[in-house]
Amino acid sequence: MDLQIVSFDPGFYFSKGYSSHGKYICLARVKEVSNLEEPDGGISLIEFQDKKYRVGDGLNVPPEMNHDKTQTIKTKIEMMNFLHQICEGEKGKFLVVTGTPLSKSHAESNLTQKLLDYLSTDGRYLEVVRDGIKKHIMVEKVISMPQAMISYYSLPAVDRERYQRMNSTVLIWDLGGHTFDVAEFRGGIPQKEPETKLYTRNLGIIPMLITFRKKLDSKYPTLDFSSTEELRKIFEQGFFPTRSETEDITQIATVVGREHVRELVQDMENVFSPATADENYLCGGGFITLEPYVRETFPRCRLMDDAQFTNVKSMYDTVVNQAIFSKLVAGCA
Amino acid sequence: MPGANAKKSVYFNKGEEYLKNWAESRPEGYSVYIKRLIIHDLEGDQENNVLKDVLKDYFGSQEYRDILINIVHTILDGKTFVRNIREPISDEEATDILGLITGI
Repeated sequence: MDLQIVSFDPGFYFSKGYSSHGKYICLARVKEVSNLEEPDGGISLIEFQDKKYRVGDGLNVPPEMNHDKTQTIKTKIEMMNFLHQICEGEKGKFLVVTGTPLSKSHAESNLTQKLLDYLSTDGRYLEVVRDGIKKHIMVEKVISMPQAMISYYSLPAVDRERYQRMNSTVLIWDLGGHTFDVAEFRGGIPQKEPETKLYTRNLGIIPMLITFRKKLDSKYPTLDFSSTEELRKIFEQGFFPTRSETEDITQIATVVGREHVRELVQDMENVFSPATADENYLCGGGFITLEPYVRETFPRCRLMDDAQFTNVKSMYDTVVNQAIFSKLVAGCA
Repeated sequence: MPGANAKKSVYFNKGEEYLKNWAESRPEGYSVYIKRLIIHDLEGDQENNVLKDVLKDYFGSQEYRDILINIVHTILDGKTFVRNIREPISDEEATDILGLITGI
């Protein structure tokens, strides 16, 4: 039985994956349902360890912000839902690389190790039934990589060589649904000291969208803006359709967007110096929305290619690199 | 990738639909007809190389490389196959990265 390598990034908004099959994304919602529930050809129904769960359902349900991604069954179900889909036969064995926020990425962090232990199947094949199709999945090994930091290695090698040669300071800003991570590289070396450099804040895009919703609710009390994804679309477009025409909300979006970016920058400037950094790279789905507002302050900032998937793809690309992989598979059957 | 772009529909306008129906009714069969079109395109002059360009892009794409990887993977009879990273990593960087990983 061969070992498939996958990367899996359980976000608050979307869970993303990457494998030899390419990109994977699923709305990060898991709900336990009655054992009588049957697959209906729509939302994924996962049966795992004598319980049933609906996965990816509920665009109108706000994300659960208190969801601890480290040791809850939700994260495990999201991962099994992904692995089941890329498992080509009845059985599949996987090496999973997952992302952890920078502040939780320190090698001695018990929290990270707990997550890895939790996601592993302890050397056993576990039965996972997805929409009535039964498969047996073993998560042989789980490792974790620090988000934001790992994305640096997806930059073109020629640029990284130049940064090393010129001893450049490069900042990677990563804005997710709930978290904001910033990583710093000097001369190509990741900066982990002082510990403040392992920077994570709960300032993702979702808190901003909640603020945006409050402003809209206040101005349009009869309308319903319950879907976070819909809010994001309205924010980016600067309008929403009404019965007769469209309602321009550019001004509200601009105020909220600028304020959120101001908060992000103000906080990270206590640790980093983006104004004097040689490069400011932006990644994470949040910056697809907010990059124009960052650009107002830092005109030379650059949104990384396929920003929503930069982390998960970088994790995958790094692990399958021969220099890294050979160290990881030692001990894997 | 299962699930991604699983449902694809092709819509034909009236003129195209006529040609499609005509192609499907060829005695040689639709696929043979399409194949003949492709060969015609590939062997045609420079002005007629739309398909050639599409294929050129495809052969250079990650999607195609992943297909090759899967083929080689199958030939190797299930042995773990590691593809080359698109952006190479230096030895120094590999050491840094290994220091960042938890769970080795």
